Amino acid sequence: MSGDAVAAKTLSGSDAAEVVDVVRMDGVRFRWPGRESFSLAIKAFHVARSEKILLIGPSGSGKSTLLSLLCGIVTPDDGRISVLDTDLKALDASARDRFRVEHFGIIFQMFNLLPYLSVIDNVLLPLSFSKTRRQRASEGTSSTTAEAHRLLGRLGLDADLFAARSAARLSVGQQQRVAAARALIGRPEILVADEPTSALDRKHQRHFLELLFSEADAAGTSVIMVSHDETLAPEFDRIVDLSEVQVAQVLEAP
Amino acid sequence: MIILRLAWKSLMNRWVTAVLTVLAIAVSVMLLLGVEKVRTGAKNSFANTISGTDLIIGARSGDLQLLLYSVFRIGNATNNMTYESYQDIAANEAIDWIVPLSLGDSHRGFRVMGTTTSYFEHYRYRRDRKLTFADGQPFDDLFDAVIGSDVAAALDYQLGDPIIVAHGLGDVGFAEHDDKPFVVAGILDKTGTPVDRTVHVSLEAIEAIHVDWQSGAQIPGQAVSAEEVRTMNLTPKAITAAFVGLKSKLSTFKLQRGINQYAEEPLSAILPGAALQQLWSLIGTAETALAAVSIMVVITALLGMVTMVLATLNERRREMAILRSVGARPRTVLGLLVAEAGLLGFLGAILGVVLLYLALLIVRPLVDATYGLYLDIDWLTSRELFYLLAVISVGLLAGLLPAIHAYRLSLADGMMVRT
Repeated sequence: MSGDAVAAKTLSGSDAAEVVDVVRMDGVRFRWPGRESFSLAIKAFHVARSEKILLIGPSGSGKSTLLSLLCGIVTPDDGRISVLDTDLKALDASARDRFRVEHFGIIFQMFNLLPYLSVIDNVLLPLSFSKTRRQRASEGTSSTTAEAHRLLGRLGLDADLFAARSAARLSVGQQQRVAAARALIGRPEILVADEPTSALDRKHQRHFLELLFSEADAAGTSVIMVSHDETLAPEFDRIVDLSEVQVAQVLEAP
Repeated sequence: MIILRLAWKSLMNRWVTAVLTVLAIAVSVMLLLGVEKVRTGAKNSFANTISGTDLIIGARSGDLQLLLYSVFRIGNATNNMTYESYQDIAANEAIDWIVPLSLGDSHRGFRVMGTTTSYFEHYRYRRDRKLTFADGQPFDDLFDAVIGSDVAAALDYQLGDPIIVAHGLGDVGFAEHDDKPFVVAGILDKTGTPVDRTVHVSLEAIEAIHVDWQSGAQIPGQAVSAEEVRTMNLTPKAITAAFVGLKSKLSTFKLQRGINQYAEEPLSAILPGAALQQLWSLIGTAETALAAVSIMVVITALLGMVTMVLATLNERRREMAILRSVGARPRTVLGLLVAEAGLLGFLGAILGVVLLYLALLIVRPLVDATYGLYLDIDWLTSRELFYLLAVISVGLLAGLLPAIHAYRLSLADGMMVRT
């Protein structure tokens, strides 16, 4: 399926001033320096506000590379990536770093937490680097810590029990929930997750996604998740198969 | 400071390695500063071998030679000075006190020095310390001897033990003054100076044992017994050198010039402080070697630190990725690692100083008693502070090495590291 077709989907009641697509990638080509065998080319990939997208594709099809491009970790050789109407190419490296923490929450496959920090310190970590998210996290609540407690609670971790605990002592499932709380704190516009559920069993996968999505919906956050697992598809608004979509278009791209 | 906080917590998480690294740095810092302390201590002790003496006078020779034989009892005087000259100079009104020295004989490897009892009053070492007696008193009888602490310890002498002086300086004297034995009348306390290795007798005694000698051998058939010699005039004809104290330091150079230009016979007068400095600069190369060794130890410890930071780097790529995902810039990651190295270096330096002073407190009385080496316990000198700062800065620089590596990794990995 083509990315173009999806752009206008699921816009419910947003006012005109608001950005329609939070992410727009057009005609993007990228090759990792020194790795000739691999290249990524995307004709168009758009994500709407609050949209939940599942990005699937075999290993090596460039899912993680797409996320790196999206987060501004690497810049495309060609084409345009704009996030929240900001052209990433126009930002220098340090501005991209700042932009990332202001607008993205990120969850990895596993080992998301700094083992030497407590659970609560791990959740609060992005706020040390972003003023905007620090402000948003304290809106409508007494403190950023209270917000972190609320998020942990919403994700099914009793904050009173876990907050002070060392992150290294948690089970994998608990770690992923802490990572989700960290990604969501301060209501970033986009949540990027790289196979966050692959270390969980099926029952926990569903549960984790439900909790994650309900919090993301409450905050109006778009979710872009990479996975091998197509059985998760029903939970999402849209599935993008990277291997089907972009490779063919690479050749015809100008 | 988020960076310092993270660095601290990360170190605490690996506290065993961190503590060991800090210890390694601390021990090396302690060694570096310890060597420095011993060096200045040795230099001070050396410079204070003789103090309170304004001039040393002897027959004309080089400054060092005069210093060596009169103070360190090393080598020989090429010439003596006459007793007339000595008395003439002693009469100079600028002079507060003067102590004659007569060298040339030995006792089982230790020098025998003829002098007067004023030697025990006026000789000063380590700025203002007087010679003190562990046992007995200054020589009183013609054949009394006062021995230094090393002599007493090496030969196991007690008060009242007999001493036979050998003519000349060989350990095994062929010619011994065995007809006129001495008796140990006093034993001095340890000073850490050549006094410890000297047998002191009266100037008259030196004259007495040589009264029937000529050209290094007893004159056959003219032996004078120990009893007979007491009745003779024992005013010496010559002495080897003299220590001089002046009423006013201001007259030092005037008197020195006067003595150097003394018309009756060629004499030299030297300033002991200046000559000691000159001598130290000759033998001071050993200190450079010591300093070089301790600097190598510090480098080893810092290399150990770099190794530790580097060794953990691979497993910490994940940590870097997490930090980058929450908005830390590569610069912050760099700062984190440098801060860790800086913390290790800083803590190591502080602990090293603490260890140094603890060690000094424990070791000082031992070193003083055994080697006569007095170690000052003052606050760090500016030179030592400079060493400390250097260690900390080199630590930071050393931390930069793995940090730059991590910086590159985190740029290349982005945040999509898989483990």
